[in-house]
Amino acid sequence: MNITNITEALDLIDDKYILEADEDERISKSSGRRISFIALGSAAAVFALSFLTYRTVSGNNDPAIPDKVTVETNYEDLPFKYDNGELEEIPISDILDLGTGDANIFDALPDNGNPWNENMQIKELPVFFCNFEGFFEPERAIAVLEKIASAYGEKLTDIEYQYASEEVFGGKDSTLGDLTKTAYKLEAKAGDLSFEVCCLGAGGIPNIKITLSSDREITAEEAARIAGFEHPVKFSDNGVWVSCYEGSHDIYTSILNYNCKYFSYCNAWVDNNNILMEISDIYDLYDCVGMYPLISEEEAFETLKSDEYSPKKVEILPADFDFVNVEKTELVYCLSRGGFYYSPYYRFYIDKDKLDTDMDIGFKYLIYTAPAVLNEYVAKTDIKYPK
Amino acid sequence: MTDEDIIELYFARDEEAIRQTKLKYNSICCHIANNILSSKEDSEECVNEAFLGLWNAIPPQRPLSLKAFACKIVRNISIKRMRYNLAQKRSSDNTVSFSELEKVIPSEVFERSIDENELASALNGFLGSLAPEARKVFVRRYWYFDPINEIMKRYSYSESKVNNILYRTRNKLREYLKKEGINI
Repeated sequence: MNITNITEALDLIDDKYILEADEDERISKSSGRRISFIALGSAAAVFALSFLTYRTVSGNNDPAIPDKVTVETNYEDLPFKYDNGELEEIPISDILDLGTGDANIFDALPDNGNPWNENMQIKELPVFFCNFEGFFEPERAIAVLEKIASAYGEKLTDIEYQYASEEVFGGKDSTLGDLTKTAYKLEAKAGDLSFEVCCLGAGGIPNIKITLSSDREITAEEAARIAGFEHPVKFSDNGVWVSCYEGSHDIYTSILNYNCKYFSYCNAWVDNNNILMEISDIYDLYDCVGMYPLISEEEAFETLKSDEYSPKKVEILPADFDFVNVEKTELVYCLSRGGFYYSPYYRFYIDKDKLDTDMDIGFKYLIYTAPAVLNEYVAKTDIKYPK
Repeated sequence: MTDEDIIELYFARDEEAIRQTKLKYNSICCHIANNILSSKEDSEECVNEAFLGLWNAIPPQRPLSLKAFACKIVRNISIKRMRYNLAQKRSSDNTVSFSELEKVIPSEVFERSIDENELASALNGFLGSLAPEARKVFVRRYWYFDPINEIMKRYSYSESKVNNILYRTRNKLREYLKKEGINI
């Protein structure tokens, strides 16, 4: 065999490596990363929630809540298998096609790390309001990047950003106003590192992509610190995710104890070689605005079918679809539409076969979320537009 | 039918061997050929040629894995066809993965005489030294010639992760070959 280049030379590799690479390796551990940005608002919060191992609760005020609750989560088995799994660069014009709380899809009913259980008769829960009022300004993004650059011993340079309004027209949303004024892309460099921030606009969760062009290693825990979080509550050194909370060490403990005043959250993604790849889903300092009574699951479900909360759902959820047909309900915390509120939501699982639709969703179950408090408590959507 | 049974058919010079091989491995062979050639017609021709190659090669050869053996033949034939097409200016769109790797390990290296066994041992040693994650991504890209977005889907990785793995692995390969005395 006359080998003339490396491509031909690779013909010499062992069969075992050829066969190994042909095993189907679609894995769920990072499929949360592959969430369509349309679903990101609710799904990211749900994702984060599911990653938590809920531990000891002490001194809560509600006798209905047990003193000790343990929920074990095997996050390798989480049902986050999204159909639209491709993670693509988002053209700035597409950023506008966003919402939160849209249907997510699953192929099995999950049994995951929901901190609530059936024995908890919870009457009210806190609602948090995002203190940047739905808009993560470029200045905040720059501050995050400066921190990361400085951890690498570099200075942030070549900062450039552009609002979608400079590039596209329209983008008006009946609830959120002109999204083009808050959606932007920001790029910067720091030595041989380059950064890209994609802010989805009007409360969309900013996604900071870090592209490393060198072998700079960093541990998962360091990644959490770099992102500015002192208490990484769940991290893995196995190329998964770092989930970090600050303000309240364990947000669910604090929520159940009614003493969660504020929190912030992010995910950092570290690969198997301990190299920080991405930081994303930054929920920046949500302040507790009050304790609000929970509505019933049935009441919440009815809002799904009304135009008031989420008109998009009417398209596939028939008006005569009754709550009794819901396969499973969970109480979770989610971001509201526009990302203004972090509040209790009911999560409904619906068997696609009961929907009488020809739509091929690829999976058996659809999941919908609806606020578990009255809409009026989570209705404020005044965007603090950039000056 | 097991691979062993099919191989026995080849040894018995029974043409059913080709039909059974096609039944089992036509899809993966077409996938590889199409990755390299980006042309359905060219791919089909190469796959057919590969099956004929199998018929001629077995016996005397008795592959340990019929799948890997068939894939290797189709890859080899498709690369040759791709280079022919390029030379004839019947260009293929899919030369990116070739140039990615050949930029780091230039063809001039192979103009000097390199012992094939040494090269095989170095390449396998290198692959063995990698974490499985990096190894699979590397093999999918440079052996199967999968596009980046297919690798992303297969392993549920982001684009930046795939690109980073490939970038680092290419550089590691270069260093590894240097260390093994292959003058780059």
